[in-house]
Amino acid sequence: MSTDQRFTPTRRGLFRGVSSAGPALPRPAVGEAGPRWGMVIDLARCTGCQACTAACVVENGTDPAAPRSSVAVYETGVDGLPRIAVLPRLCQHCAEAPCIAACPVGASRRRRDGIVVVEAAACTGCGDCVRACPYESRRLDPRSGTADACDFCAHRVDAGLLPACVEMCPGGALVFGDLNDPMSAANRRLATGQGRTLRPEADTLPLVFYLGLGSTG
Amino acid sequence: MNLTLLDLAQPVGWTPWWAAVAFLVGLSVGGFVLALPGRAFGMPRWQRVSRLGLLVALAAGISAPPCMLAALARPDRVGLLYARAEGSSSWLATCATLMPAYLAALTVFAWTTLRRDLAAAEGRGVLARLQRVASLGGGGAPRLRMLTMFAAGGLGLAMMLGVAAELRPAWNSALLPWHLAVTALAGALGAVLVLDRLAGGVRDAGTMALFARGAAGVLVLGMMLGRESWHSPAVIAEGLAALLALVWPARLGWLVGLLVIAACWLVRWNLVATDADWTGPAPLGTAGLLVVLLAGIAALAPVLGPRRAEGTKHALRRRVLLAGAAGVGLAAIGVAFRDMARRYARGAEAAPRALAPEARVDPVTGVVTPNVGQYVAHVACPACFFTCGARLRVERASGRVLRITGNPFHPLSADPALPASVTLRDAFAALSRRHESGLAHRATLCVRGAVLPPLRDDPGRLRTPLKRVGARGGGRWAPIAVETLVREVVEGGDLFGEGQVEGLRALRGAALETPLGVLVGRENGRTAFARFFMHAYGGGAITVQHIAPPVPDLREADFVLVFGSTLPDQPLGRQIAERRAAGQMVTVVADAVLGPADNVAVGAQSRWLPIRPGTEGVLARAVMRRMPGRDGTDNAAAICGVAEADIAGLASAFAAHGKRAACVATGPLDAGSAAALQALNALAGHPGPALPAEALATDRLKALLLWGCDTDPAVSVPLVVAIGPFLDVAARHADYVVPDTLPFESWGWHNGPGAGVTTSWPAVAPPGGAVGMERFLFACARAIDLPDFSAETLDDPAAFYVRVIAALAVASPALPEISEDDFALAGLDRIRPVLEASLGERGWRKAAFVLARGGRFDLADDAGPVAQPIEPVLAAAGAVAAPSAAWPFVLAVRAGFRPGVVALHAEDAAALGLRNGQAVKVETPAGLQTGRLELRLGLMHGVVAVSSGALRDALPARVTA
Repeated sequence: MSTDQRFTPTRRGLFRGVSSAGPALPRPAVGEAGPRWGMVIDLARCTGCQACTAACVVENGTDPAAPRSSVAVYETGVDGLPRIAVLPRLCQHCAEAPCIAACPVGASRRRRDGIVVVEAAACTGCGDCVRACPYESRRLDPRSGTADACDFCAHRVDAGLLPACVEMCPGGALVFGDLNDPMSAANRRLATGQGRTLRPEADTLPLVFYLGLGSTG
Repeated sequence: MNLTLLDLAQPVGWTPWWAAVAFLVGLSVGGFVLALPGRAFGMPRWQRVSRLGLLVALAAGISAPPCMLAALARPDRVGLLYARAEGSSSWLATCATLMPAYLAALTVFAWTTLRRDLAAAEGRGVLARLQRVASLGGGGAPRLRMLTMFAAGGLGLAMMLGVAAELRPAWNSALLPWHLAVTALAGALGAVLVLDRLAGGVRDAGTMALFARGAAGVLVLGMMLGRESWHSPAVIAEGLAALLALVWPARLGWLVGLLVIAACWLVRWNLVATDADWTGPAPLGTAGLLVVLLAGIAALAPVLGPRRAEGTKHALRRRVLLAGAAGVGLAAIGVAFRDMARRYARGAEAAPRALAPEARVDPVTGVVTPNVGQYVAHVACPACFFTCGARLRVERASGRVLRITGNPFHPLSADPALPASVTLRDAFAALSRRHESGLAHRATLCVRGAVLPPLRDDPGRLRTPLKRVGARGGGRWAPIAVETLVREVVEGGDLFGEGQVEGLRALRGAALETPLGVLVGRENGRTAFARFFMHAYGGGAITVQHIAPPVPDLREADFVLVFGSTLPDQPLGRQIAERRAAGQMVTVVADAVLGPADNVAVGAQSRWLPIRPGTEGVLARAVMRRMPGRDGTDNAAAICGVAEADIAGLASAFAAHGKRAACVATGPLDAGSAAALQALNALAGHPGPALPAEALATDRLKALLLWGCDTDPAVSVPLVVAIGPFLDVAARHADYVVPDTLPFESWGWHNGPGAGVTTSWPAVAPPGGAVGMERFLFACARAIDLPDFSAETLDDPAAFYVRVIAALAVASPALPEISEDDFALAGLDRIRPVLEASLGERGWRKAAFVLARGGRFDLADDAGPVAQPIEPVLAAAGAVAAPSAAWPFVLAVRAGFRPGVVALHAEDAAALGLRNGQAVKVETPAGLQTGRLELRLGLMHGVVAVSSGALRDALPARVTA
């Protein structure tokens, strides 16, 4: 029988392009002095437990119905056998962020350390950045009506701490670190050459890398 | 590669108001084009059409800005679009600038063409006088007319392009701008047709027919440009309108006009609405705005011709008509903007605000600056059986728990856990990003611990003891004082007007075998106190409702049989995730539903074994029977729905891996299955908790305490007291209810598996009126004069816990006294009086050292392997209903499954003729549940899966549309 009717891929197809053997590692620009924050996500260590989602909601005070980050769970098939694929989703903190280009009022910007932030007080809630994001990583906050996205818990990073999701990941799937530091845990994990970014064809140069993404196809 | 998204909320892409903006801008520019021949160039045959076109252009043009405002989620900040647009390439900012300019040009253009009509207004009414004034003399102003005509034309065109560009992410065809332009013109023609009929019939049938045909031609062109599917509503409206316009051009002006307008709207609506997952009342608001403005402009300005003094009857009819239209339009606007009005009535809420960090850690020097507004309390996580260590961030000023994370000193929450010698200040540094220390030392909880709701001030919280009024289970209660409660429970009497009830004092003297029983929901770190009371009381039984699932140590395991669609919560989930990813462990996920217990990224380290719901125990027993030295055979393969070879494979894997093999379960298990899983682990050599004691024999009891029972105990005993923070299921069997404290408001002492001793202390003050189990039993004990509760032995229930914790602190090797810094950072000043009173000047500082770290974890675990009676477990039979003709499916109830979803295997659904997304009904003998059908391949044949709700796992079921 045909099972085509059951498949409802996401509109923008987050896995598109990753199943082909793309460039091993589109490294972001590392010209700036000082840290450049990024994340390496080891999919094999993710259990889809959503502890990161919960930590994010509580730490950032967002509506639980519209979290900034969460783990998407997909059913996929490998050699005809059904398998489960998990994908922690958060702002990809692109070096070439389409959301920043789309904002009519300059409310979205990238900090020197690479973190993309939204200045909520300046946001008109037009939604242009939400529509421009190839990763569906932004949404309008249902309560304030302003654009909202993961900012790597910039308030914690600035206090010398780790993002809430990283602190709470039981499996240690989320590795946060300085991509400008060749000895950082994130760079050591990327040294295997297995790191992939989502939708490389969008040319956004994300600072979030995934290990084990190729196995989904 | 095909992927089905199983769980994700889609973000909102568009607000539907963008369809309104595109529609109104198109209509306005289209109307302006129609206004040109008659109004700008004075072509006589076009006079009527052009007047109506101008009316449409003005009304739609004025309606567009409110809709554009509505398209912003924060319209109050529209000014920023002008103030901060510098350097922006945004089309939104461009449109925001073009729109007022276009409107100004259009209005001045209209004024120049209407000046003569304004001047010709007759009568003495205010309106007529105002019109004569507004005419400013009534000249033609040909140069101004030309100038504003070109300006309005150019700005209108630019604005249409701007709107089309803003809609760029939604384009379904490269020809979309042309399609928008063509339908805009057609829409304006349609509006003119409708207005022509409204304004009093065809004065020039030939022209109208010509326009209807024109609209038809334009629509056919639009259909070709649109490249939309032939069954889209927009295309159907376009085709129908074109057909009618060609066949009866002059006779069906109404219908053709409305259909053309609808087509123009639907083309834009399709673009936006297919991309948004919510649809607001945008069509209503747009229509309302248009009607009001059409009525208003027609009434106030002489677009349809100079104002003539008319007969009273005619004028009245006209006024009623216009007022009616305006009323309907205003009502529509009210409905459409209701949500926005409500938000502003509340005051637009602030954007999400992050918590203040608990400390600052200098990444270079490592200097820790704690946030004095908060303290971190280490207690036991109350979310499940495992007793992980929780770290509460509490706000000092409010006493509110801000966030719950893992305790870095606790071996179940951190690996490696910090040794007790580390200070709390250094623990901040260990968890920080300095030297990336926090990655290795991260202290975690599962999602259940992370989102424990703030129940302290929950409105349903009990704040006074209750006594039932009327029959038991009637749900009527009267508040009573604590003293009255204790006196009645202890002394008994004719408490409810139903006859004599024996109190605890009389029962104790009655030489009964078990006069008093305690039924506890589950071990919670406080049961030791209840046992202490029962020991002093003598002749009582204490029984636990729920027994912990097997908790083998997986830190060395390399083969794990997982019963569940998700992995067990941490620590087991954490251990599996880490070892499996490192290639050190293989899991076989035995469940009817394939869920994230599997993970394609670990490749062959994980395998799915579909088994029928409720057969976990059957499979575990079958594996044991097939292990070497036992030659049991049974019909387990048929019951579980698995191949015989798979069971044999599991048995040989367990035999081959020995102590490195284990089984774990995610969901709650029935007692028989839990015993079978524990027996399998015992056979593999893992220590385990004792098997559940026999159920509480309530028939012999004269009094019963139901404490924290979350499932209905269904008992009938002469005197029943329920203890809980809320009116729970146990209350329906109770005579009295005692308000209990919540976990973070209570003392506790947990002997968790593989975790040393976890301690809890009231890190948060209980609300007034929360008596607590301990104070209630303490008061009862004092009233009965129980020996261990005399003033000399125990002067405060808290002292019971404090002394146990102090003993823990002085056990060899003895721990040091707490430092002032640790004491302050842990927030222990809250309980200093209790500690000092119970332990004296020296002792309390050692106990506080333990409390600050959430327990003591360096003492040897004395939980050895418990001798498991395996033979009786093996002898148990699997009692699982086989599928029948009436009930062809088995129900799988899975927590974490999205509510409202009913999942079936795609082939099962096809056999039933059911489609993906269809509304279906799941019937069981115990009740039914409805939901939306989701077709899966990762689901066992013959199984229907739903989220946790009223229905129980493994029920027989049938599925119908």
